[in-house]
Amino acid sequence: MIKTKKNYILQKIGEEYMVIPVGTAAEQFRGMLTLNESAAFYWRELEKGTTFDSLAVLAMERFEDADEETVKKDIMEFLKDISFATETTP
Amino acid sequence: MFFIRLAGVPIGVDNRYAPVGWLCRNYQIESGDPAFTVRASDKMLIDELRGILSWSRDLTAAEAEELKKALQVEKPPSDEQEYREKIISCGGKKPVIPLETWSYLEELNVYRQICRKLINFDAFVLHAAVIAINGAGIAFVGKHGAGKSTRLRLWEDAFGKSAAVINGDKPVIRLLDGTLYACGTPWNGKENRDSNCMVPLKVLCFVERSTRVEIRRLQTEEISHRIFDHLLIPDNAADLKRLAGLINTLIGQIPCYLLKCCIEDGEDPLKIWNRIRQDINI
Repeated sequence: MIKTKKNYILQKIGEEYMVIPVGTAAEQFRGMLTLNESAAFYWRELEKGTTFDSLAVLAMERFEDADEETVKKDIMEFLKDISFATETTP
Repeated sequence: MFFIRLAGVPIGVDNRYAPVGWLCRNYQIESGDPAFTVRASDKMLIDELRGILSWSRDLTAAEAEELKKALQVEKPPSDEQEYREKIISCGGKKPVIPLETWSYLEELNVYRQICRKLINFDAFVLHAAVIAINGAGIAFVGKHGAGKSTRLRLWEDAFGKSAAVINGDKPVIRLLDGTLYACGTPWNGKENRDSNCMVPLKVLCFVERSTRVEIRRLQTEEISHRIFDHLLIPDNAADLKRLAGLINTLIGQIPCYLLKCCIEDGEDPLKIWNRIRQDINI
């Protein structure tokens, strides 16, 4: 199970999705992450806790025209980029 | 201990040192029933100093190192008297960290605490310089050295008695009955410019240095990341959500502009203001 750490908060400010660290997370990561609509969708799933495979299935449902290989590659890259803000539990 | 009214909110300040009281002299109220009270603890002052040591450009590496070492053995005195007594007990030898440093840190920390609590009153601090022209608040937002204070001077000179500086550095913005107000505070920047009043915020200008003067209205998608760097980010998720709500209100209500500044290019506040007024019909 992959989950976002609780001190990284997704907020939509204006037209942008931003992930902003608070508390101890703000000491480790200064600034914020800007996400596009797809990344924000993945983030929301990760807030609840999910697996790579579940995320891929949900993404395929959401982005009907996308091929599986591209979706999985995108998710893999996204998870790598935000690895500092996620934790994996058994 | 003294009381102030800031952005319409009565606040108690349980101070350790006198200077923060002097700083707040124009905002003090008799006493009464404060909405909350703040006090800078030892740990808070030490954390403020550690923070400054990590970014300050005013300290040499040797000075920063000396202060870091001193922090391991020295702690903030509880008041001026304790500081003096300590010097006497050490045979007249002064601590490495002087009282002026601790009192400056108290000023910083008291405001930080106040701003964190003001979010509960739909208010937040914005790193900006605010001037009112005939009662309409204009906030100049920009990075350190972008020219916020210079804009205040230029606009004050251009508008004379129609202009009033509300705050030169860190005003509080408060949402009250659906209207956003820019509020004067004693924490007002190097030039100590502020007015103890609240004016409706009408325009926000992000200022940038340039070789020619330009002004253009920003689209919604251009604003969020520009404003983010000029906010005090709350230390918990609930307050962050409240702040995000306030910023969304600001983005929805207040016209935002990019103002490229250049005095050498004949920058004229009257022209800029007329352009904005025509645009937003003030």
